[in-house]
Amino acid sequence: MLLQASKVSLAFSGVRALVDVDLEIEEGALVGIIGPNGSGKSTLFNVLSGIYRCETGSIVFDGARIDRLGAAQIVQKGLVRTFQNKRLFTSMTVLENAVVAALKGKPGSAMGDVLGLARSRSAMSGAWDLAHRCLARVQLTEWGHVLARELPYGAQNRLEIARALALQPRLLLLDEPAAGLNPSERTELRQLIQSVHDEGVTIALVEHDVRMVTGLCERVIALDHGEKIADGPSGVVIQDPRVIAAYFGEVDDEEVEHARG
Amino acid sequence: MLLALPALAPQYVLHIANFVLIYTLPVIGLGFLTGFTGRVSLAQGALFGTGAYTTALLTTNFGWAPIATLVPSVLVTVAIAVALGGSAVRLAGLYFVMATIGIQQIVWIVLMNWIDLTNGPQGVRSIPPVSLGGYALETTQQFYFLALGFAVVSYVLAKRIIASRLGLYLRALSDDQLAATSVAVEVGRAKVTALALSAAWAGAGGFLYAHYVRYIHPDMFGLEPSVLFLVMSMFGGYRSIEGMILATAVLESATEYLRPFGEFRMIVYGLILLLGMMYFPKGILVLIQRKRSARANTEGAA
Repeated sequence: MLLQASKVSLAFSGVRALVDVDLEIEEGALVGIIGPNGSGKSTLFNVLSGIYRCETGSIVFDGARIDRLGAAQIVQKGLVRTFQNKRLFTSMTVLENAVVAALKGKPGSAMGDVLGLARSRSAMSGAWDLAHRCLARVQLTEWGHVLARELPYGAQNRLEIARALALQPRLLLLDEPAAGLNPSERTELRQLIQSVHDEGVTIALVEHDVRMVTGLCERVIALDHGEKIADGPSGVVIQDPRVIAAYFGEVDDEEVEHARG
Repeated sequence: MLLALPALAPQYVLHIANFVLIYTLPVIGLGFLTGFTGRVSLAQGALFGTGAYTTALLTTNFGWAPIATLVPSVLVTVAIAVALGGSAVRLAGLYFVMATIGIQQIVWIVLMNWIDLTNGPQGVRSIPPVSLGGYALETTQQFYFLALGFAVVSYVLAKRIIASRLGLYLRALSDDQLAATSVAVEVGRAKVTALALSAAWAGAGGFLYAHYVRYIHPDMFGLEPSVLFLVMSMFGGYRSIEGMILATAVLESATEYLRPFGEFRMIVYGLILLLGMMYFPKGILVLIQRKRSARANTEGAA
């Protein structure tokens, strides 16, 4: 098991955001996480990536506990996340955004860079190469020297993913990467996620677009009010009455039938 | 051209040039913290003073050779900055500003009241000039070359630091701290490093200052130089070390050449700053860049 979270709970001033959530992701999986707004999807990502600390429960990544590590240390271990509302380094160029990430775990030091030591120099040029490759992956090569804040919205989305790829993740948590994209951009994004997964990166995808989730993910997990309410093959989970009820409120069977179309 | 200045310029101009060169050090240092990390500090004057006092006391009380005190001056300044500000620099911007005002006050109070060590309000007199190989750099001309050497080295080093991975990390965390953490940047460590660098530059600047003015007093290192350095650093150009140097030259010359205005000098100075901030919020270097890009545009059109 690459990631194993057991009985993870978290409350914000009494409001229960996550309640005894168990989550297992095996190496090489592509798992979808769905749930209505406020169901705890992003909170779960924040806990897994070390931005929040869970109050109870444990998180084991690649055989080691990570639930008491800082966010930067968790990234070092290869658990990488993107943000729902893009968090780019807006005053830096597109290429620099990727380079900051590509420097992760590279040998040498800032002191070595200043003194021009061979080890630091080759690490630096390795990072620039990796950054270039990651931008090429998401068709941003010709935007490399543009400031990140000047990118069109859809391209910002891709940069967020390129930056995550530059961290060479083992497990990639994508938080609503398709939000705000038009249909053709969605198709491209879907192909991108698929190809990243094909290269062996394990992915967990939080997404509102149920069609995208079912199209990409064999396994889907549904959350509601901070609890896991379903976990299984995507076809089964989206037919689960509790999942449908969570999305559409308490409804009678007739309406459920109607919603299924 | 800079090397020929002592031969061409009158003594008075050279005297101002020396102060400009000295001040570029604390100003560039502050740039690491304010320009690149987004942390505004009002303690740079106190750190500048820490460097000046370290070398002044070591040379006058303990008989050290001036040049031998350069490294101790830098180290003591860095140690004090990190000890007093190391945890504050991790805080959100506004809290850090308040903490630096506190640091400023602490250093001033210690300089003023720890009389056995610092001479208190008497100040430190008869600080020897720097001598290199038995040759004392006493005159304005001689000192000019020393200060120019310091300024050039500090400029080159600063450029290299900004181009290093630390420079990338600092810019990233000033844009978005959470995102920086999420790409494995050790944000706290990077910020403390920026603080240490800004202190190192201030300490080296203080070292130069002490051996130029040869008499120092705690009041020289109050809030006023802190504000002055901050303004010079921000007035120059957004994240541009050249801009910071230019602003230091312009503003330091302005304070000198505005002397005919007498009492009104600081009012005129304040007006220049106010107008500068209003019309060039990203620094005066924007003016030059704008001209250059305008020229490029017209050439492109033709």
